[in-house]
Amino acid sequence: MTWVERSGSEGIEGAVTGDRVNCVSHMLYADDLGLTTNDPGEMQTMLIKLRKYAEKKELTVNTAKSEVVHFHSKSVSPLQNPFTYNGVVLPEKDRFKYLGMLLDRRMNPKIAEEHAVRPYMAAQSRISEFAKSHDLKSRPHAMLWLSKVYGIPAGMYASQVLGTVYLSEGKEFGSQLQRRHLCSLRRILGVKISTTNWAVLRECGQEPLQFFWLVPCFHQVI
Amino acid sequence: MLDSNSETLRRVLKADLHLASFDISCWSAQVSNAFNGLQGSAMFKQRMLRATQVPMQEFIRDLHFRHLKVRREADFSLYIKIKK
Repeated sequence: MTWVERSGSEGIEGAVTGDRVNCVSHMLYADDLGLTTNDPGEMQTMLIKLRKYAEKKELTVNTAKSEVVHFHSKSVSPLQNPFTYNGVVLPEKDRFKYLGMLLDRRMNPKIAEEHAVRPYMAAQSRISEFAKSHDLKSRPHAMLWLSKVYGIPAGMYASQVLGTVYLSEGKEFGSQLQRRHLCSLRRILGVKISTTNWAVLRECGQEPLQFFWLVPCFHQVI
Repeated sequence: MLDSNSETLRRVLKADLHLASFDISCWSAQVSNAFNGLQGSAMFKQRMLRATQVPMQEFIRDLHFRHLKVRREADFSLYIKIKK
């Protein structure tokens, strides 16, 4: 997919970013492509260019998986003329998933955060099944080890984007993921829900998730 | 990301680092706020916003220390609560 570098973004401004100077016309990772612009006309132009390029290279764009989201719009469908790709009308949605992250049209980070909790919960469920089948439920040290090895890494996904709000001092227990993690630790320890967060973490020999999120954030920059 | 092969990504990150000085809700501002409370906070912030290398060992040691400090404060307030 080199069309964006060669011809796709030629003459296209794209969506304006926070500094009002730099614009982004596309996000491309492997075969996942997201097109962004403030001008609906530009979007249709990019879709036409994409179709031409795909035809030339004998590539297929899956229109069933292609969606349109109008960010910061009041209604879901503010356009009279919907966007089309190769004659197929692309459905308009109020949210879409890009690389496993859920983005809604109001750019509400809470919605994305709720979605990001899923891999962690799935990992916890697998840990629970494994513990049940190996009779480990009564062994807290094994459960804690499993939680540390499989649960926490599952909670790392997209933390460089969604976790930054909770990185500062005093916000260690603000995220949904951290709260759920603490709940699972309390269950393992068999302590009351009123047991303080720091006491639970210390008893388990664990750091807040903030600690694991901070380091990759710096690796992102440098 | 500043060494990324994507020109767009490099430009957007530079723009975000620039934005951090006047918009607290941008990504770089939130990450640099995370340095608050660390012993080398000012140096870390400066290095990050200038996109130069952050000494990781020093940073991790500082972060552990910050967590220990918060834990001690939490323990102390719990002790006071129990004593009452």
